[in-house]
Amino acid sequence: MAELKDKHWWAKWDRAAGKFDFMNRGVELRFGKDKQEWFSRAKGLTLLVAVGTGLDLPYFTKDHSLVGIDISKNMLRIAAKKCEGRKNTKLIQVDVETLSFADNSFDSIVTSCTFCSVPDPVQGLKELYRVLKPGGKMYMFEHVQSNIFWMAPMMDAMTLITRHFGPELNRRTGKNVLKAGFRLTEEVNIHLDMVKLFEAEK
Amino acid sequence: MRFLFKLVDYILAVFMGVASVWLVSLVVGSGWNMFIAMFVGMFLGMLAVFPALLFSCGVTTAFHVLPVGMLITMFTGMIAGMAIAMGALSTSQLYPLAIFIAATVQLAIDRYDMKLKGEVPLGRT
Repeated sequence: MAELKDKHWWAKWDRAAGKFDFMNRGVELRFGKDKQEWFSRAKGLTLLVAVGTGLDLPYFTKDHSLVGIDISKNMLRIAAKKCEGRKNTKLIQVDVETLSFADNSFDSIVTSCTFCSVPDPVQGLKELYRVLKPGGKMYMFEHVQSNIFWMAPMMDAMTLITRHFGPELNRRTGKNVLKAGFRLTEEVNIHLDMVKLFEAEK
Repeated sequence: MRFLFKLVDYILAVFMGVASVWLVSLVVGSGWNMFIAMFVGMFLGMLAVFPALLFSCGVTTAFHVLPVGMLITMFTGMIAGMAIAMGALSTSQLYPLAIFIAATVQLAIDRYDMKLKGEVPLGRT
Protein backbone atom coordinates (compact mmCIF):
# COMPACT_ATOMS: atom_id res chain seq x y z
CA MET A 1 0.00 0.00 0.00
CA ALA A 2 2.74 2.42 1.00
CA GLU A 3 4.52 1.58 -2.23
CA LEU A 4 1.47 2.50 -4.30
CA LYS A 5 1.11 5.78 -2.39
CA ASP A 6 4.72 6.73 -3.01
CA LYS A 7 4.14 6.38 -6.72
CA HIS A 8 1.17 8.79 -6.78
CA TRP A 9 -1.43 6.09 -6.47
CA TRP A 10 -4.13 8.37 -7.85
CA ALA A 11 -2.39 8.63 -11.24
CA LYS A 12 -4.29 5.52 -12.37
CA TRP A 13 -7.56 7.38 -11.74
CA ASP A 14 -6.36 10.40 -13.70
CA ARG A 15 -5.63 8.03 -16.59
CA ALA A 16 -9.00 6.29 -16.24
CA ALA A 17 -11.05 9.53 -16.20
CA GLY A 18 -11.69 9.69 -19.95
CA LYS A 19 -13.26 6.23 -20.17
CA PHE A 20 -14.71 6.12 -16.66
CA ASP A 21 -18.32 6.90 -17.63
CA PHE A 22 -18.37 4.21 -20.30
CA MET A 23 -16.70 1.61 -18.07
CA ASN A 24 -19.26 2.25 -15.32
CA ARG A 25 -22.34 2.49 -17.51
CA GLY A 26 -23.31 -1.07 -16.63
CA VAL A 27 -23.05 -0.36 -12.90
CA GLU A 28 -25.35 2.64 -13.22
CA LEU A 29 -27.83 0.71 -15.40
CA ARG A 30 -28.05 -2.25 -13.08
CA PHE A 31 -27.65 -0.66 -9.66
CA GLY A 32 -28.74 2.93 -10.32
CA LYS A 33 -32.20 2.45 -8.83
CA ASP A 34 -30.79 0.91 -5.64
CA LYS A 35 -28.26 3.70 -5.34
CA GLN A 36 -30.87 6.41 -5.86
CA GLU A 37 -33.13 4.97 -3.17
CA TRP A 38 -30.26 4.54 -0.72
CA PHE A 39 -28.69 7.95 -1.31
CA SER A 40 -32.06 9.70 -1.02
CA ARG A 41 -31.77 9.03 2.73
CA ALA A 42 -28.92 11.57 2.93
CA LYS A 43 -30.10 14.83 4.50
CA GLY A 44 -28.59 18.28 4.99
CA LEU A 45 -25.04 19.14 4.01
CA THR A 46 -23.72 15.97 2.40
CA LEU A 47 -20.15 14.95 1.66
CA LEU A 48 -20.03 12.90 -1.56
CA VAL A 49 -16.76 11.01 -1.31
CA ALA A 50 -14.90 10.11 -4.51
CA VAL A 51 -17.37 11.96 -6.69
CA GLY A 52 -15.30 10.85 -9.71
CA THR A 53 -16.77 12.08 -12.99
CA GLY A 54 -20.06 12.91 -11.26
CA LEU A 55 -21.92 9.71 -12.13
CA ASP A 56 -23.79 9.87 -8.83
CA LEU A 57 -24.84 13.51 -9.05
CA PRO A 58 -28.19 12.71 -10.76
CA TYR A 59 -29.15 10.66 -7.69
CA PHE A 60 -29.43 13.87 -5.66
CA THR A 61 -31.96 16.65 -6.14
CA LYS A 62 -30.56 19.77 -7.80
CA ASP A 63 -30.90 21.84 -4.63
CA HIS A 64 -29.25 19.27 -2.32
CA SER A 65 -26.25 20.81 -0.52
CA LEU A 66 -23.35 18.68 -1.70
CA VAL A 67 -19.60 18.80 -1.33
CA GLY A 68 -18.02 16.38 -3.80
CA ILE A 69 -14.42 15.39 -3.20
CA ASP A 70 -12.01 13.38 -5.30
CA ILE A 71 -8.26 12.83 -5.52
CA SER A 72 -8.20 12.96 -9.32
CA LYS A 73 -8.02 16.32 -11.05
CA ASN A 74 -9.08 14.81 -14.39
CA MET A 75 -12.16 13.20 -12.86
CA LEU A 76 -13.19 16.47 -11.21
CA ARG A 77 -12.82 18.32 -14.49
CA ILE A 78 -15.46 16.04 -16.03
CA ALA A 79 -17.66 16.20 -12.92
CA ALA A 80 -17.60 20.02 -13.04
CA LYS A 81 -19.43 19.95 -16.38
CA LYS A 82 -22.22 17.89 -14.77
CA CYS A 83 -22.60 20.43 -11.97
CA GLU A 84 -24.16 23.07 -14.21
CA GLY A 85 -27.45 24.16 -12.65
CA ARG A 86 -26.42 22.84 -9.23
CA LYS A 87 -25.93 25.98 -7.18
CA ASN A 88 -25.40 24.08 -3.93
CA THR A 89 -22.74 21.69 -5.19
CA LYS A 90 -19.04 22.28 -4.59
CA LEU A 91 -16.19 20.15 -5.89
CA ILE A 92 -12.87 19.92 -4.08
CA GLN A 93 -9.69 18.00 -4.88
CA VAL A 94 -8.58 16.34 -1.65
CA ASP A 95 -7.39 12.99 -0.32
CA VAL A 96 -10.01 11.29 1.87
CA GLU A 97 -7.23 10.13 4.20
CA THR A 98 -6.29 13.73 5.04
CA LEU A 99 -9.46 15.82 4.81
CA SER A 100 -9.18 19.57 5.25
CA PHE A 101 -12.66 20.01 6.79
CA ALA A 102 -13.29 20.86 10.43
CA ASP A 103 -14.61 18.24 12.85
CA ASN A 104 -18.39 17.63 12.77
CA SER A 105 -18.91 19.53 9.49
CA PHE A 106 -21.38 17.30 7.61
CA ASP A 107 -24.89 16.01 8.26
CA SER A 108 -24.49 13.01 5.96
CA ILE A 109 -21.82 11.24 3.98
CA VAL A 110 -22.27 9.22 0.79
CA THR A 111 -19.73 6.88 -0.78
CA SER A 112 -20.07 4.92 -4.02
CA CYS A 113 -17.44 2.30 -4.93
CA THR A 114 -14.92 4.33 -2.96
CA PHE A 115 -13.29 2.13 -0.37
CA CYS A 116 -12.13 -0.41 -2.94
CA SER A 117 -9.62 2.21 -4.03
CA VAL A 118 -8.50 4.18 -0.98
CA PRO A 119 -5.00 2.87 -0.09
CA ASP A 120 -5.65 2.94 3.67
CA PRO A 121 -9.41 2.47 3.99
CA VAL A 122 -9.55 2.57 7.79
CA GLN A 123 -7.67 5.90 7.86
CA GLY A 124 -10.06 7.27 5.21
CA LEU A 125 -13.07 6.10 7.19
CA LYS A 126 -11.62 7.59 10.40
CA GLU A 127 -11.42 10.93 8.63
CA LEU A 128 -15.05 10.60 7.55
CA TYR A 129 -15.99 9.78 11.14
CA ARG A 130 -14.21 12.94 12.27
CA VAL A 131 -15.98 15.28 9.85
CA LEU A 132 -19.45 13.74 10.34
CA LYS A 133 -21.68 15.37 12.94
CA PRO A 134 -22.59 13.20 15.97
CA GLY A 135 -25.71 11.23 15.04
CA GLY A 136 -24.98 11.83 11.37
CA LYS A 137 -25.22 8.93 8.95
CA MET A 138 -23.05 7.54 6.19
CA TYR A 139 -24.62 5.75 3.21
CA MET A 140 -22.39 3.47 1.18
CA PHE A 141 -22.65 1.53 -2.07
CA GLU A 142 -19.58 -0.69 -2.15
CA HIS A 143 -18.31 -3.92 -3.61
CA VAL A 144 -16.55 -6.10 -1.08
CA GLN A 145 -14.75 -9.40 -0.62
CA SER A 146 -17.16 -12.30 -0.99
CA ASN A 147 -17.48 -14.94 1.70
CA ILE A 148 -18.45 -17.56 -0.89
CA PHE A 149 -15.71 -20.19 -0.54
CA TRP A 150 -14.79 -20.39 -4.23
CA MET A 151 -15.17 -16.65 -4.92
CA ALA A 152 -12.92 -15.34 -2.13
CA PRO A 153 -9.62 -16.82 -3.48
CA MET A 154 -10.58 -15.76 -7.01
CA MET A 155 -11.12 -12.20 -5.85
CA ASP A 156 -7.76 -12.25 -4.05
CA ALA A 157 -6.07 -13.45 -7.24
CA MET A 158 -7.86 -10.91 -9.46
CA THR A 159 -6.90 -8.09 -7.10
CA LEU A 160 -3.23 -8.72 -7.82
CA ILE A 161 -4.00 -7.52 -11.36
CA THR A 162 -6.83 -5.01 -10.92
CA ARG A 163 -5.08 -2.92 -8.23
CA HIS A 164 -2.63 -1.65 -10.88
CA PHE A 165 -5.28 0.02 -13.05
CA GLY A 166 -8.39 0.18 -10.91
CA PRO A 167 -10.03 -1.01 -7.70
CA GLU A 168 -9.19 -3.82 -5.29
CA LEU A 169 -11.83 -6.56 -5.22
CA ASN A 170 -11.14 -8.04 -1.82
CA ARG A 171 -11.80 -5.23 0.64
CA ARG A 172 -13.61 -5.96 3.91
CA THR A 173 -15.40 -2.62 3.98
CA GLY A 174 -18.02 -3.59 6.58
CA LYS A 175 -15.29 -4.51 9.06
CA ASN A 176 -13.32 -1.36 8.18
CA VAL A 177 -16.37 0.80 8.92
CA LEU A 178 -16.54 -0.73 12.41
CA LYS A 179 -12.78 -0.32 12.91
CA ALA A 180 -13.09 3.40 12.13
CA GLY A 181 -15.55 3.82 15.01
CA PHE A 182 -18.89 3.87 13.19
CA ARG A 183 -21.92 1.88 14.30
CA LEU A 184 -23.24 -0.22 11.44
CA THR A 185 -27.02 0.22 11.39
CA GLU A 186 -27.95 -1.54 8.15
CA GLU A 187 -26.31 -3.82 5.60
CA VAL A 188 -28.04 -5.01 2.45
CA ASN A 189 -26.82 -7.46 -0.20
CA ILE A 190 -27.79 -6.33 -3.68
CA HIS A 191 -25.78 -8.80 -5.73
CA LEU A 192 -24.64 -12.05 -4.14
CA ASP A 193 -22.59 -10.95 -1.10
CA MET A 194 -20.23 -8.90 -3.26
CA VAL A 195 -22.19 -5.69 -3.85
CA LYS A 196 -23.64 -4.13 -0.73
CA LEU A 197 -25.36 -1.11 0.72
CA PHE A 198 -24.25 0.02 4.18
CA GLU A 199 -25.75 2.53 6.56
CA ALA A 200 -23.48 3.58 9.43
CA GLU A 201 -23.93 6.11 12.21
CA LYS A 202 -21.49 8.23 14.19
CA MET B 1 -35.56 -3.91 -18.16
CA ARG B 2 -35.05 -6.71 -15.66
CA PHE B 3 -35.80 -9.25 -18.40
CA LEU B 4 -33.27 -7.59 -20.72
CA PHE B 5 -30.57 -7.73 -18.05
CA LYS B 6 -31.26 -11.44 -17.52
CA LEU B 7 -31.12 -11.98 -21.28
CA VAL B 8 -27.71 -10.26 -21.39
CA ASP B 9 -26.52 -12.48 -18.50
CA TYR B 10 -27.53 -15.66 -20.31
CA ILE B 11 -26.09 -14.53 -23.67
CA LEU B 12 -22.77 -13.73 -21.98
CA ALA B 13 -22.81 -17.04 -20.10
CA VAL B 14 -23.33 -18.97 -23.35
CA PHE B 15 -20.66 -16.87 -25.08
CA MET B 16 -18.13 -17.71 -22.35
CA GLY B 17 -18.96 -21.41 -22.47
CA VAL B 18 -18.70 -21.65 -26.25
CA ALA B 19 -15.58 -19.45 -26.38
CA SER B 20 -13.82 -21.59 -23.80
CA VAL B 21 -14.49 -24.77 -25.84
CA TRP B 22 -13.25 -22.99 -28.97
CA LEU B 23 -10.04 -21.82 -27.26
CA VAL B 24 -9.32 -25.28 -25.88
CA SER B 25 -9.96 -26.92 -29.26
CA LEU B 26 -7.33 -24.65 -30.82
CA VAL B 27 -4.61 -25.95 -28.53
CA VAL B 28 -5.41 -29.36 -27.08
CA GLY B 29 -5.24 -32.32 -29.43
CA SER B 30 -6.22 -35.97 -29.21
CA GLY B 31 -3.61 -38.13 -27.58
CA TRP B 32 -2.64 -35.52 -24.98
CA ASN B 33 -2.04 -36.70 -21.44
CA MET B 34 -5.44 -36.44 -19.68
CA PHE B 35 -4.25 -34.45 -16.67
CA ILE B 36 -2.25 -31.99 -18.74
CA ALA B 37 -5.23 -31.59 -21.07
CA MET B 38 -7.50 -30.95 -18.08
CA PHE B 39 -5.30 -28.22 -16.60
CA VAL B 40 -4.49 -26.60 -19.94
CA GLY B 41 -8.22 -26.72 -20.75
CA MET B 42 -9.11 -25.09 -17.45
CA PHE B 43 -6.55 -22.32 -17.91
CA LEU B 44 -7.42 -21.62 -21.54
CA GLY B 45 -11.13 -21.79 -20.81
CA MET B 46 -10.86 -19.17 -18.10
CA LEU B 47 -9.29 -16.74 -20.55
CA ALA B 48 -12.73 -16.49 -22.19
CA VAL B 49 -13.91 -14.40 -19.22
CA PHE B 50 -11.76 -11.42 -20.22
CA PRO B 51 -13.33 -10.60 -23.61
CA ALA B 52 -16.76 -11.05 -21.99
CA LEU B 53 -15.79 -8.53 -19.32
CA LEU B 54 -14.51 -6.05 -21.89
CA PHE B 55 -17.45 -6.27 -24.26
CA SER B 56 -20.08 -6.16 -21.55
CA CYS B 57 -19.01 -3.19 -19.42
CA GLY B 58 -21.51 -0.91 -21.17
CA VAL B 59 -24.52 -3.08 -20.34
CA THR B 60 -23.65 -5.07 -17.24
CA THR B 61 -21.10 -5.24 -14.44
CA ALA B 62 -18.01 -7.28 -13.66
CA PHE B 63 -19.89 -8.56 -10.60
CA HIS B 64 -22.45 -10.22 -12.87
CA VAL B 65 -19.86 -11.64 -15.26
CA LEU B 66 -16.94 -12.76 -13.06
CA PRO B 67 -18.47 -15.29 -10.63
CA VAL B 68 -20.57 -16.96 -13.32
CA GLY B 69 -17.85 -16.77 -15.94
CA MET B 70 -15.14 -18.27 -13.75
CA LEU B 71 -17.29 -21.33 -13.01
CA ILE B 72 -18.53 -21.83 -16.57
CA THR B 73 -15.14 -21.48 -18.22
CA MET B 74 -13.37 -23.59 -15.62
CA PHE B 75 -15.81 -26.49 -16.02
CA THR B 76 -16.20 -26.32 -19.79
CA GLY B 77 -12.46 -25.83 -20.28
CA MET B 78 -11.68 -28.89 -18.15
CA ILE B 79 -14.30 -31.06 -19.81
CA ALA B 80 -13.32 -29.90 -23.30
CA GLY B 81 -9.63 -30.52 -22.60
CA MET B 82 -10.25 -34.08 -21.37
CA ALA B 83 -12.84 -34.95 -24.01
CA ILE B 84 -10.62 -33.80 -26.86
CA ALA B 85 -7.57 -35.57 -25.41
CA MET B 86 -9.51 -38.83 -25.13
CA GLY B 87 -11.16 -38.34 -28.48
CA ALA B 88 -14.48 -38.90 -26.70
CA LEU B 89 -16.32 -35.90 -28.13
CA SER B 90 -15.79 -33.72 -31.18
CA THR B 91 -15.75 -29.92 -30.92
CA SER B 92 -19.18 -29.72 -32.53
CA GLN B 93 -20.51 -32.07 -29.85
CA LEU B 94 -18.88 -30.02 -27.10
CA TYR B 95 -20.60 -26.75 -28.05
CA PRO B 96 -24.13 -27.87 -27.02
CA LEU B 97 -22.64 -29.27 -23.80
CA ALA B 98 -20.99 -25.89 -23.13
CA ILE B 99 -24.31 -24.12 -23.71
CA PHE B 100 -26.02 -26.48 -21.27
CA ILE B 101 -23.33 -25.95 -18.60
CA ALA B 102 -23.45 -22.16 -19.10
CA ALA B 103 -27.23 -21.98 -18.72
CA THR B 104 -27.20 -24.29 -15.69
CA VAL B 105 -24.47 -22.34 -13.89
CA GLN B 106 -26.19 -19.02 -14.64
CA LEU B 107 -29.47 -20.39 -13.29
CA ALA B 108 -27.75 -21.71 -10.15
CA ILE B 109 -26.04 -18.36 -9.50
CA ASP B 110 -29.35 -16.53 -10.03
CA ARG B 111 -31.03 -18.78 -7.47
CA TYR B 112 -28.17 -18.26 -5.01
CA ASP B 113 -28.31 -14.51 -5.56
CA MET B 114 -32.03 -14.55 -4.74
CA LYS B 115 -31.21 -16.39 -1.53
CA LEU B 116 -28.52 -13.90 -0.46
CA LYS B 117 -30.28 -10.73 -1.60
CA GLY B 118 -31.65 -8.43 1.07
CA GLU B 119 -30.86 -7.29 4.55
CA VAL B 120 -27.95 -8.96 6.34
CA PRO B 121 -28.52 -9.55 10.08
CA LEU B 122 -26.36 -7.09 12.00
CA GLY B 123 -23.34 -8.61 13.68
CA ARG B 124 -22.58 -10.90 10.73
CA THR B 125 -20.18 -8.40 9.12
